[in-house]
Amino acid sequence: MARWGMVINLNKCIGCYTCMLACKQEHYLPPNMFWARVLVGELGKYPAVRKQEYPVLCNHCKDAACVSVCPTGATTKREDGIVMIDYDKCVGCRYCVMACPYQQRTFYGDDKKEYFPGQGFTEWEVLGRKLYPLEKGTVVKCTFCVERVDEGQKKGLKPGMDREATPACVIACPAKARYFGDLDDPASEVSRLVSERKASQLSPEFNTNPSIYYIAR
Amino acid sequence: MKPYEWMVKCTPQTEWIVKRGVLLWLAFFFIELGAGAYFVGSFFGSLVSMSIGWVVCGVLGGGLHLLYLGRPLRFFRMFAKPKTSWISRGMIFVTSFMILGFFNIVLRFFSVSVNVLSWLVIVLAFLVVIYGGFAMCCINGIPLWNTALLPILYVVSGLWGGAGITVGVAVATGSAQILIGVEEWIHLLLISFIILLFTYLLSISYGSIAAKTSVSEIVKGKGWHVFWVVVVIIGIGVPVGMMMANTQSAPAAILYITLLCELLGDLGMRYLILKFGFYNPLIPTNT
Amino acid sequence: MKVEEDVKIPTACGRCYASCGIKVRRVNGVAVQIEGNPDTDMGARGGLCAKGIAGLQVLYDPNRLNVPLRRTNPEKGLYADPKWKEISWDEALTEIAEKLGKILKEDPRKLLIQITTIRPLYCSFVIKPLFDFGVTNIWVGGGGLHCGSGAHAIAGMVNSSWSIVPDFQNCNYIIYFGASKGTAAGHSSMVSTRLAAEARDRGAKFVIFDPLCNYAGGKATEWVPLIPGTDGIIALTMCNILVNELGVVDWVFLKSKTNAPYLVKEDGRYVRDPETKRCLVWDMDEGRAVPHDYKDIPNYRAACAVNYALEGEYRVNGVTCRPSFQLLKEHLKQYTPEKASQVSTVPAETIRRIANEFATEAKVGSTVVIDGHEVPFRPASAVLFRGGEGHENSFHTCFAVSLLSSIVGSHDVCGGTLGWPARSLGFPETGKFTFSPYKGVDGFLQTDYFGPAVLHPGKRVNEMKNTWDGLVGRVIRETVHDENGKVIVESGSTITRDIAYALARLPERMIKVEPFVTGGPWPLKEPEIRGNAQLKDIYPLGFDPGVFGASDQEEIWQKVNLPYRFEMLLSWGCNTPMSVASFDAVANSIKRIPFVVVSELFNTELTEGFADIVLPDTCYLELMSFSEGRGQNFNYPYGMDDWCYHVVQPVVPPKEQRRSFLEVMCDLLDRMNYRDRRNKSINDFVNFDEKHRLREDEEFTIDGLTDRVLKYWFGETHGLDYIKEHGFVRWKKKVEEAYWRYFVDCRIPVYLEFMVDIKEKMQKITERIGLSVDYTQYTPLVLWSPCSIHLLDSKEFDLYCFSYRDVLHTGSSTMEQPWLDEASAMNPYTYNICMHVETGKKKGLNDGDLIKLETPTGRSVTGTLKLMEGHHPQAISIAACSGHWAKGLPIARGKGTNFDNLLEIDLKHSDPVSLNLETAARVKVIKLQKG
Repeated sequence: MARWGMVINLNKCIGCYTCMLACKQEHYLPPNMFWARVLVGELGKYPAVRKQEYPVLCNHCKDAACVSVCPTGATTKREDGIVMIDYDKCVGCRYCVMACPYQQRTFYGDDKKEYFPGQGFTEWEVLGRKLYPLEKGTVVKCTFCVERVDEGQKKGLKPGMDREATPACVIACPAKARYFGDLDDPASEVSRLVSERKASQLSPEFNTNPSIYYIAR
Repeated sequence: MKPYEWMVKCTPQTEWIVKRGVLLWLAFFFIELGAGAYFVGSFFGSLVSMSIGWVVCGVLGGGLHLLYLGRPLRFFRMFAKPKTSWISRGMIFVTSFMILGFFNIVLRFFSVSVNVLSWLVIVLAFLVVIYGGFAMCCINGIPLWNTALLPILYVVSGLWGGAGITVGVAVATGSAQILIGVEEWIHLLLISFIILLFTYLLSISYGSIAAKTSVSEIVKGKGWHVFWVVVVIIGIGVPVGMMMANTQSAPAAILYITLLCELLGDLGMRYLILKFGFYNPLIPTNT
Repeated sequence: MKVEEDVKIPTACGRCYASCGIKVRRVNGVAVQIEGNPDTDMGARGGLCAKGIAGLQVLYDPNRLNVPLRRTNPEKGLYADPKWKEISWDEALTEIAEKLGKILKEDPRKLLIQITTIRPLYCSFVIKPLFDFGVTNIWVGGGGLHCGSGAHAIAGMVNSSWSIVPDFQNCNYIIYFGASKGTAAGHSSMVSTRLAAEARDRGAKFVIFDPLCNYAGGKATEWVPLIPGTDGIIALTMCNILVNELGVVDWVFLKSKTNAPYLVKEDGRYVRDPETKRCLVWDMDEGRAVPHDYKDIPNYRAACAVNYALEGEYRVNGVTCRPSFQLLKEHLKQYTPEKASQVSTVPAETIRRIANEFATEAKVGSTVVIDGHEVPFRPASAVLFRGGEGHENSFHTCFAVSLLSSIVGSHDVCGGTLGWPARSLGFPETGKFTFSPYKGVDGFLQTDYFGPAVLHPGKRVNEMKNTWDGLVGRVIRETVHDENGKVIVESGSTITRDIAYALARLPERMIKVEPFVTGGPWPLKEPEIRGNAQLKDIYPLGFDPGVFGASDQEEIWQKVNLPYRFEMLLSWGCNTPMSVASFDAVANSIKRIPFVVVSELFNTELTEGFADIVLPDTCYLELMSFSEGRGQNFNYPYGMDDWCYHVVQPVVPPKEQRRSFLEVMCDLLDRMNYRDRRNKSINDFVNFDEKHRLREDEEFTIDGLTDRVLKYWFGETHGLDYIKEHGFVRWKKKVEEAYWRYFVDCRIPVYLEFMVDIKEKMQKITERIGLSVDYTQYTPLVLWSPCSIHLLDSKEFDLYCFSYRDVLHTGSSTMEQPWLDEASAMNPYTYNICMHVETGKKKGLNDGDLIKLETPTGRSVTGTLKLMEGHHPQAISIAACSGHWAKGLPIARGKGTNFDNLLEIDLKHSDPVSLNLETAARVKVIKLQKG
């Protein structure tokens, strides 16, 4: 069984927010909801300054805090490592939102927000709600585009190698800074990158063992 | 907080205090207060206190908790994961407490005393008081909450508040005996609370940047009004003053006011802990 | 819900002038997803940028214009309320046809056309028929004034292209002077993003000279902050170190590819053979002076054998002369690191070290074999764009940076500084799209193809039949005969209308005439007053002067006795009031034009303030357009990436009453009874032969025309059906195209000899009419010239304010998309004014404070402050072009700060050579409110 993970190359990343918007586009997300973000800051003192730009998203941790704190069992970790939310079970207690040290979960409380406030929902928003309905009152987050991964595998495609089976944020990146694949397969691209480029996890001190690795600048 | 500072600077939690989060703040308060009132009331045989505690805990607190949920009608699902989830455990504790506590009160009302049941419900009451603190303490992303001192602080404040209610009931019903007994508890709990609060804040302030930010915001920053006025002066100062004065001869009104001050202080402290629970920045930047 | 349709339409993006190939997914008639087309090299091979994805929100924005509108409030101004009345297309076009027809008959120069730089390839085709009428006045958005003049002029002159970019695939040492290749919108932006990211990852060093450590500076291996506008002196200092200290010079390149060996006499002019007039060089092997084209230099080996003198003093025909390189070498000595450091604040040691590293990494003398051809390998490159060139020293700064690549011989060779594809041996099946630089007058590079088709009149030599209007007034340097040997025009004559028409009738390529000025300025037009409203007749090197919006516009026109004033403005996608410079100056210039017609997607500051009639346009997702792919040396994949000709095709039919500008123009021309001329324009653009050309009165549908054109260009199998499935036509790039420099025998200048003549001729004219021109920069030797922002001696206005490209935005049009607004809010810098943290502290300022920036002339803008470490302490910056106020743009309204209002727009604040606007301003900061 594969264990899906991602490697993000900060050398290549230009902080263009494409991944963030590609994700919103893929899942028809409403205004002000983000399942992937880009965090921007600076490190160093003038003139030895480094711009910091980190794409962040749900880490699909191996020892996910959100999975253990969920009272209903709505949040579970699949065998292939993807942390999923069953919208039918979630009660919206938001304990998982608290528990995630990376803050990558969002409570969907207001389903009336329009992209063009006061001007109604656009055709895109209307269709999007039907194609990918989110449940009001539940917690939502990145799913590693599980529909793409699952559908793709059914067709015999390889997630991380074939576009159709790969998460939207990975294929949308113009700098090709994101890689997706099987972390448990030592021959996979992601595994090799992790070991050869000494990629590291974000905030490992929380001991959740994230499945997303970063190659430093 | 500006959108671009999110998780780049220390970021406060919001879901459990902002907008509808207010309901959860109040829910935890009432649940623990009510259970505390039941607990203390049990030891002193104050059925009124136990009943008030039951109502405050289950109906008020429990009700608010359910109202807070995104999908309250699915609450029955929350019993599913007691193995790993404190909220799940809490649901079991509270529900068991409500059911068994109800029977216990009814039986006691009819002067039937079932020792096993009584002790079971007392244990459950204690668990209800403490589970909230543990639920928060196991969140290692928020250093302000991630300390063993938090559940203890909550237990002490819950019992202290509960004892306060028992005193109020004792005054109202004129049971002087209960009053004296509970007063001793209150003094003990008050002193414990002061020591705990002080130790808690001081020890957190040695932690990571989020920890330092939490404490500094509470004590010097945006929370300082609530901290110094509501928690320290009203919530601690007034009860300490009462403790030092001779309470037995004080008119009932003063006692009620003191009780109110205690509760306000407790509520204020919980507000601060929720409001200024910060996460550490996610990425390395100049701070 | 039932999914009845789930298809992907391949088309091209329209959110910036990269025109990346995209695929748009349509479900049940609704466009739902946009992604990069993974099969093309025109883009990020499947990746895209945020703006491209937000294209969905351009399509479905409820604020889109749907019906033609008429202004009923006669008052015009920056904040005027137009009081729109909805009218029918028929009413709108009848009135426009009447007014436009009158102008075209009387004097086509009275029409001012405005187009956006965001999609120039589409609109250049649409407005082409108007150029064929003799319309000459075109105002290219804010782009031309800001980013164009100097950079495009030099890139045209040196690389036969629109601009320059490092060969990321093979380069190891990359210097940017105020450029954002790979981190912003622009030419091949996602191609550059993809390639630059790979280069970074394999360890290429990026040295970024930029006052700001964000985007470009943010990805630097070494970020070097400097005072804006001082890039020129740093480049010249590096040239000095290369030539005079290190002696790292590509002698082969200089001898065979430049005018370095051309002998120059005392007065600064070339020494010419008295009979043939050819420029002379000194052949060291033969020990005598010979004409510059004495030897053919068809390839690199032949170039290595060339042995013309680059130094020394010689006597030729009784005249003492020296190779121009000798003059340059001595001239460069004055540019010391210490002097450069004083001017730019870059430490002298840093400049010296970078020059040394550049010299080492350039690997002068090395070669590499690609596809069986030996090409030089120079993996070091220096490029500049907006930031470096947008100043009063634009021409020379751009030339100085270009000189770096000339000295190490890295122009258009493997690993070096590339122009966008300047040479094409044609589409394999049909041979169409063949173009190349070639040896022109005095041996210099000339080209028969430049830029987005006919963006400017007189542009395309190969199809010069249709550019006959643009030839009028030019001096021709060759005698031209017709097919029967009869002389049509003598060398040295000025082309009149009749002569131009006669020339137009000649079969192709019997005559070489330069395209518009930046394609290759040889021979330059003679300075003369010929009624050009932009002064391009007086300024031969003026690329896109800002006179159309200038505050001294009327004064200038009086001086040159301009025989007309504008009667109509036709604008497509421009937002001039806020995207150029001083709002007031631009507003006043537009107000003077009595009839303003705008084809737009939204109501903008231009339409609300000034339009008389607004026409609802289709966006690129509702459009069929085959001209989009005509940007070969403008935005095509460069280096060895393939040629990819993309076609824009509609994803959804146009909604409501929207009509594409193309369709509207065809309709207008029809209404004005110019169907024949319309069809002729199209024939000329496509270059149809006799068999395939449109008949005079032929009618067509856009789809039908597209199919016909594609089949003509790419063969019967590549018509509309093919495009509907694939979206583009692709063919392999050859080495002789990608790295063409040594495959074409032509030269570029390192010595600007033409300046001597131009200065003399211009001075006569400008002194006569009283036009004040600073001729200091009209020198044949490239120099550093401080701008007025550097010379201002003021402690009060202590900061250099500039703007920069943010990857989230193009022009002023992207602030309306909610997704881009969300992303902008999430970025610390995009909507804020940025300043160095210590500078801010000294002024008592903090993050979030509301501040006002004011120039010495009282222009001001306000915004929110963000302090940064990564910022030059003496500068202050604003991203993109925000600060909208139009009611038609509710998402964009009030977000960010507009920088452009700080800029003066007049001759005084322009580069006296290229007329590029000064795009930085000295300001003082006033705190309005604590944050």
